[in-house]
Formats: sequence, C-alpha cells, structure tokens
Amino acid sequence: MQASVSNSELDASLSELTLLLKDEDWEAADRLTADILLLAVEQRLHSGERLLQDTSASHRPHLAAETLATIPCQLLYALDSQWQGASGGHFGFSTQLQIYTEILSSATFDPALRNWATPHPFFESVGWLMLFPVRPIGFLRFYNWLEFDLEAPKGHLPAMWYWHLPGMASLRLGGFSTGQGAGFGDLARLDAMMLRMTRCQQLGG
Amino acid sequence: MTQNVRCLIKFVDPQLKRDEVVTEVHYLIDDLCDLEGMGQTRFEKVSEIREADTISVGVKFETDAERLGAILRRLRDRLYYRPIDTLFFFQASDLNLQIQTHRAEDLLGLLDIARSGLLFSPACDYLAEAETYSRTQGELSPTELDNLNLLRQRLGLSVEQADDLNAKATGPYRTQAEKRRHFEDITQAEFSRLRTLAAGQPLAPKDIWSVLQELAENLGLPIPTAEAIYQQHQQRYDDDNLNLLQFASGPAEAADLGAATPAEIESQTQAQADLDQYRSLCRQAMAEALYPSEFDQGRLAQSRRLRTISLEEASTIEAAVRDELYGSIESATGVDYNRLRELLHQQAWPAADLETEVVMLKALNHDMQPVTAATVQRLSPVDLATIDALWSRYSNGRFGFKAQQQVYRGQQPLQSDDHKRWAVFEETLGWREPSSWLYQGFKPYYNLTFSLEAPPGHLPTWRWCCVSLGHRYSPSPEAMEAVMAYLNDCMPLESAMTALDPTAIAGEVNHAS
Repeated sequence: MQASVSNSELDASLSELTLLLKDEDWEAADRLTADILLLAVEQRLHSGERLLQDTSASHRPHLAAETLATIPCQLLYALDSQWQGASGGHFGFSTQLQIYTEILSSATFDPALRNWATPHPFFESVGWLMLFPVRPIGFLRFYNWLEFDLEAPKGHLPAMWYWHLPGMASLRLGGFSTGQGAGFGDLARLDAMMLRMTRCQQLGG
Repeated sequence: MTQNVRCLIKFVDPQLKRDEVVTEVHYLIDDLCDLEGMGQTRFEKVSEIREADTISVGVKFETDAERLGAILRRLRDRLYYRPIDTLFFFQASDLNLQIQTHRAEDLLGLLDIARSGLLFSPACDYLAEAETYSRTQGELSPTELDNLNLLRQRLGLSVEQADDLNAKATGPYRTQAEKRRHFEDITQAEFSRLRTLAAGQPLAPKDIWSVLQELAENLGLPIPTAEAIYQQHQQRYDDDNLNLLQFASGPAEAADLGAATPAEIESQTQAQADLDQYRSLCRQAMAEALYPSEFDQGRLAQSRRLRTISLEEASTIEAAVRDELYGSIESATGVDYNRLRELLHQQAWPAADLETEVVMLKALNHDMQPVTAATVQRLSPVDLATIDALWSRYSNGRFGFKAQQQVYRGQQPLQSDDHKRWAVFEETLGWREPSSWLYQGFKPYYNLTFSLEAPPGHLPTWRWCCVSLGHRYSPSPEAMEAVMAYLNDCMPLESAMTALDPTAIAGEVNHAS
C-alpha cells in the first residue's frame, strides 16, 4: 500500500529534508514538508487511485480535509520523526496532536462555541494567531510572520501544510489569497490532520 | 480436687527449617485441642528470634493433671510418626519433669513417672489410648482390644467402664465396615443431590469433598479410605455427564470412540472430564467479571496444573467461555474485538465509539483511511455482525447497526428526495438538528450524546467514514448511502414488517436504483 511512498523522488525529498532540519533551516524544511505531502497526493492521483476528493485536477491539489485523511501513515511517521528528532520534540505533527488532544479533553473547551472572537485554543497555543491588530482577533498570521526558530511556541511548526490554500479557499476564510494568512482557521482541515494522526497511531508502529 | 500442671513443648531439632517449625507448632496445637476436654485450654506460643525474625518454636499451656496421661500419649504418637528432637517440660506443684528426645518410648517412661507423682485419671488415659487405636484403622482390632484390656487392668478400671470408653472412642459406628457403609450412603446422597441441582448441565462437584472429609474425620474413618469412596462416586458422576454430552454431540464422535481401545477411551474420558471441570470453573470465575479476579486467576492456574491442561487449551477454553457469557467476537479479518467488548461491557460509550472506529478501520485494512462509498464493501460481514451484536447486547438493542437500519427503514417511506432522506435520518438518530436557511444544524462530534438516553441508533456513530469530526460530525450522504446499502446486504432485517408495507418496498426499489 505504501509502494507509492517509497519511490525515488520521495526518497530524495526526504533526505533533503533531513539535511535542512540538520541545518536548522526551519522555514525551508517546513515548505519542503508541505511539498512532500502534496507530492504523495499527486502521485496517488497519477497512479489512478480514486480519492475522496472530486478531482477535476486542472490545478495543483491542495491539502484539503479529504486529502489529509488519506495521507499514507508511513509518510506521516517519517516526516514526524524527522521533525521530532531535529527539534527535540518541540516541532512535529505529533507535538501538535498532543496539544490538540489536551485542549479537546480539557473541561472548559466547548467545540460548538467558535466564532471570529473566540478562535480555537489550538491556534493560540501554537502561536499561529496574528498578534498585530491589523485584523480582529481570531485571524491567523501571514506565513512569513511565523517564527522559524526554536524560540517559537511548542507545536508552531510544521505550518505550511496548513497555510497552503488555493486562492478561492483563502478568500472564503477571510484572507487575501494568501493561504491561511490573515484568514480564519479552517477547523475542518485542522481536525482532519489531527484525526489522521490519531488513526495512524492506532496502527501501532 | 484438681491439680494443675504447667506444660512447655518446644521443638529444638536443628534440622527443622523455619517455616517447618511454625507448621509443626500449628499442628501440635491442633492435635492437643483435639483431645477430650482440651477445647477450653489457652495455648500460648513460645517465640524465638531466628535469622532476625520472630517465629514460634513451641507452645506453653496449663492443664489438669488428670489429662496429662492423655496428652503424653498423644505426644508419644506424634513422635512415633515423626521423630523430631523436642524439649518437653512439665511442672506440677512438687514435681518437675523435663526431657529432650525424639524417641517415642522415652515419653512412655515419663508417663509412668507422672502416674506415680500426680493425681491421675485412669479413664482419661484409657480413652486417649482407645481413640488413638480407633483413629488409625477406624475400628479396634483384636490385638488392640487385647492391649486395651491389659491397660484396663493396670489402671484398675472395671470391664463396664472400659466398654463405655471403647464405645466412646469408636463412636456410633463401631466397626470400620459400618463406618464405610455410612460414609458411602452419605456420599451417594450428596451426588444425587448434585444431579438434581445440575439438571443435565455438566457442573463440577464443588466443595463436596471438603464436607465429606470432615464427616470422615468425625466418623473416625481413615481419610484414604474415604477419599477412595468419594472418587469412585465422582467418577461415576462425571461419566454420566460425559454420556449426556456425547449423546448430544452426535454420531461422528461416537464412531471415533468406537474405534478406540477401552484404555484409550478411558484416558480420553478422563481428559474430557478434566476439560469440562476446567470449563465450569471458568464459568464460575467469569460469571461476575469479564476477566477473572486475581484470586480466581490463581484458582484457574491451580486447577489447570492439577488437571495437566496445557496453557493453549486453557486459554482456548477461557476464550470460549468468555464468548459464551459476554458475546462472540468473531472476526474474518483477524481484528481483536476484546477491547470493544470490554468497553461496552463497562458502558464506556465514548471510548467504545472511538474503539469502534479503530476496529472498523483495521478491518477495512486500508491504511486507516476512512470508509468510503468505494471501499465499504471490503468490510467483512462477519466483522460487521460482531460489532453490531456487541453494541446491541450491551445497550439492550438500543444501539448498533441493526437499530440504525430499523430507524432508516421506519422513515424511508416518508421521504423520496435523496438529500432530504439522509438529513431526516441524521435528525432521527440525533446526529444533527433540523436545519434552516441560516443554520445547518450540524453538531460537533464531541457534543453527541454518549449515554443510553440518546435516541435509538444514535451509537455507534459513523465517525469511521468522516474525514474530520472536531467542528461538525457529518458523514457525507454518498458514504451513508453506500454504508446503509451494504448493511442491508450483509444483515437484512426480518422482512415480515416491510413485506406487508408496499410503500416500504417502493422505497427499497427507489433506493436500489
């Protein structure tokens, strides 16, 4: 099942990621991580596997909730363990999942009560919220306003997988065709990624 | 007037290990209590520090001088059976007796001295001797009677007195044959009582032996004899049960048995009886709890070793009994449903719903990707039936796939529009609220109702066909359509109700097209 993952192009990208993370070039590593996820998705499309997503596929696919739900578990493991290793557990999908799960299980969290004034506590926790009063509270930072060092809040990275959005989707979320930047957090996509991590963890190593 | 004797008995044998000494002391007290008139005596343990631990090494007590003879005889018998180096110390007002020995004869010498120096009850002495004889064989043999007669003369007792004491020693059943007969009668009665209790169901004769053993002791019937009688009866009882079972299990096995030699049959029968007993012990242990308590696990392990049942056989039996008591967890895909069953048994609904997703996605075997219209048919009907049966069992039919099918079947005739049909389905299950042009009515997954108060069919959720849950739980209509169609294929509802309802059939046709 993971055959499409272990081909040469992905392997090359993964070794490149190792180097970038070793150099602590966090931004480049983050962009490459998103590219690798997209690459895996594209390959899946070309290999003819039917996706949940209705693919008119005239443009590059983005990491929609339906796409995130089908990312190969093995690839997620590989990416996550690289981030975990390089950042000492500070960055990585499983670090984000841990924060997300803690929020879900905390007593005060009400998932029904979300609006522009009360963003999901996850965004605040990982430091994705815009701090300047350019827009009302509850909007996310522009991508290049993120912090690309270990001083950043726990779970701050990887972020590009979340920021990369087609222009229309960005506009719908209140941004300016700048991905997630300056837009509302898309809860469906966030939850899809966290659910995917949870499900993959059930496979148990 | 009575005279008191202070007694001290202490084990000094250096070869005795620590716990052996403690056990010996325990048995010694038991033996002494057993004597006529000693029940009220207060025994004080004598302790000593050995290897930094305080352990009891002997016993101290005070008693009537009258009983000293009987006590000495009992002590002599003990030494005779197990020569342990022991220190005996007796102190009356004007007499100190002390001896350290492991030889039974030495104590007899002490007995003679005691007789000369103390107020002494010949009757007690005689009775102790008669009881000792009676206990070893269950009756008084001619030689023993002759010995007793000599003793009677030495003690100056009358023949009538001696006869009385003999009768007292042997109890109401004088000869061993009489005791045997009585014991057999009782055992027989116990087993026929068990047969009526069990009523055709193979049950192990539990606890009968411990009561019968007590009876044998009271009768003065030697334990090995009693045990032989008991085992004879138990064998017969087991065979009866086995015949019943074989009768039920049909001709194939009978033919199998026919080919075997009698010896083989016997060993097979015995093995089968062992397995049956182990099985019924499992049933007891799991009657209250899905997994036996530590105590019951100990009992099971002991029973397994006793009957030389292999570990694999034992766990097969345990699993079978668990399935029988708590619902089968059959899987065609090798998925382990133990945890789901346990969670449902505990009525841990949220955790059970999550576990349902885990087992569904594992059964789908598609890299933990959610179930889609394209992949739902890869799910095994066996696994779906198992999941449904567990949910249904622990919610009294309120939850489970069948409950959901019923809800769907019930509202289906009312809606012809596909889109609306699924919205109504979700509303009826309580998965969403009625929508308006302003409000879609979706609920976050975590706001669903995880309790028995939820509407019928509310659980298990179909989160396993969702790509996200956090802000809204809404399986796609395409996925729901496919899942429901597949459920109807795998586990059709009884059609009695719908066959009479033409609109329902129309709905079904509609749905198929």
